[in-house]
Amino acid sequence: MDLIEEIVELNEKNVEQLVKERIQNEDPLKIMDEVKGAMKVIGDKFSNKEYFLPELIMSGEILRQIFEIIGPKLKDSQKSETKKGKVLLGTVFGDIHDIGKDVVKFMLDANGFDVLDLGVDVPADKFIENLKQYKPDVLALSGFLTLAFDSMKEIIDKLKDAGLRESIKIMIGGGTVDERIVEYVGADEYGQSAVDAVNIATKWMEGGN
Amino acid sequence: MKAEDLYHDRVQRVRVTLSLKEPDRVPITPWTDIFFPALQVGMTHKQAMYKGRKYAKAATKVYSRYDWDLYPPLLVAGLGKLFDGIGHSSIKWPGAADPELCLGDNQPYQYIEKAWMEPSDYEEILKDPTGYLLRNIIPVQNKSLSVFNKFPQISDMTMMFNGALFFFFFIDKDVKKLIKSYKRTLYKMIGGLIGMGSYIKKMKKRGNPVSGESVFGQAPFDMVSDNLRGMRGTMMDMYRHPEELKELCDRLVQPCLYAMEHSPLKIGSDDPDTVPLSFIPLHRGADGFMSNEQFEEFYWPSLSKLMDGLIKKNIIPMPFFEGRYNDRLEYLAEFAKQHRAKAVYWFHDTDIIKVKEMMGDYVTIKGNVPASLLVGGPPSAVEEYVRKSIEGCMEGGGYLVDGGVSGIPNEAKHENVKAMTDAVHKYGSYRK
Repeated sequence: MDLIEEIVELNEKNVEQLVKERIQNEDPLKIMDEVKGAMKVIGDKFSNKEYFLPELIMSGEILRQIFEIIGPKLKDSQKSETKKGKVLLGTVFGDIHDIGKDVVKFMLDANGFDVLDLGVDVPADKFIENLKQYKPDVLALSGFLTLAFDSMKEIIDKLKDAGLRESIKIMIGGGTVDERIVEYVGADEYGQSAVDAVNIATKWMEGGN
Repeated sequence: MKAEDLYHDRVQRVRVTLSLKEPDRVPITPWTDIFFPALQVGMTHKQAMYKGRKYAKAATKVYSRYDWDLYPPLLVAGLGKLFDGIGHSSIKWPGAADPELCLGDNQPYQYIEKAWMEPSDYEEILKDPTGYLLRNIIPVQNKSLSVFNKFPQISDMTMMFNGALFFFFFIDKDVKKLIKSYKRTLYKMIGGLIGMGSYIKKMKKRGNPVSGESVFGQAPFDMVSDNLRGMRGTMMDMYRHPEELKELCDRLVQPCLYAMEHSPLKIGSDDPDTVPLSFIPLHRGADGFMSNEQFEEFYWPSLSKLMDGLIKKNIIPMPFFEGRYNDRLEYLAEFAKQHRAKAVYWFHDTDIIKVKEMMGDYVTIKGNVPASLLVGGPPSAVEEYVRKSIEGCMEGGGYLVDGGVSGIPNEAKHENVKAMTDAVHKYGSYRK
């Protein structure tokens, strides 16, 4: 059985059995590489509309199970690696919706970004504090409710006041957000889907505007 | 014009368009997110949840500013007091008595995403869905109803002296306590309840028809996702327990149909001379949530069965297609063709002009002025959006102008809502 194929096909029982067998006498890093490869394929299938949320959720669950088995065998130094870029992500103040944000996180992860997820209902000051410490390349703001428009605006206004706006690229997205809101809140770009989020972040990391 | 005539003309305009004929003008029939009228008069979200009478007054005042053809029903005014009273715990809201559930004064209520039922319980819920919901879910989601875990077994009702079971249930000391506490809750809510009644009366006096009495419904898949297994759980069940999930969705159709016909919690006007539309907000069926194959297998069968059942009971289903449904239009069109002029499809971010082309001869379309325009404006852009929508959708009737997300969003600005209204009056007339 091929591990990558079994993960991509979401055969969780086969995956569990395979990982348990291979961890006995194989380098966990080699297994991790294959897992990452599988996640990339799943991300691509999501981008191509072959896979949807049920598949992302199932693969996330399978990934969790794999980590339970091999996590203890991985040294801390082996867990870090060079990433494409750093993204600070969160659902803005007043809004506790996390589905869209979690999909964006999954897709950015799968595509080699380092993502710091601040969770939901995140106040403006917490974004700014983390922005200073974590020094991300991209700030990704999520919101489902219409009140998110003003919460996003508040964050970006505060960044301008702190003289930090020019140092960061900002993308926004979520249920009621559309391209008209980019100007209203002062962001750089709007993404309709998690696939857009990856494309926009990649474009920015490659020096595009 | 006399208020009575104005009222009649407006209702008539909506009825004609629902029958897929051209009235004198395209009707404008917005619903609003519940905090819109409150924010317009300077109330906080918390006050809107707790000051029912004041909220109802605000709604009367704010809605009356606009020349609409059908006005929104009020969700229970004083909802916060009701939720506190029943110990409701599946949402968070501003001012909740339980600190775990309490949001800030300026936040709207929001659902808690979690699994209330484990997959191991499929066997039990499938044996008796109603019994399981009564004894296992309602007591957990409503703390005051914890005593429902002792609710008499329904199968015993077929036995002799079956009423005795109910008698002994209702004299249980915890049930008696519950009844007493509900009386107190009702007393606290009385202002809001009076406010709701007076909203409908005052609106009628002004010639403003309020949407008729109806009950909210949900797609069975969403009932499972929102209220039983959580979205993550439900979507994993699509892989791990597909047959049980499908069976449960199917088994929830009949209880939902019954509830939508007989629920004691109806919203809207009881005036027979208005138009009742049964709102069915849809969550997980949108593009991106699942593939068309999954939609066809898991989501659509029970939803279309529910809508078909409602139509057979002469109830007009108004599914709200939140998000985008561009990939699902074939399914929607097929249903519309089989039920001509029997439903209203309300769209958020789907291309309604394409919808009109595909199924405008069979179903009324409602929507879809974007929230971003109603909040951010400017009014000229709102006007232009409405003009184009009318131009693309008005032919042959069957088009109602409304906002996209929950109608008018909470934070919408008056000048943008006015621009939307004025645009309908400016561009919506049919040439006679």
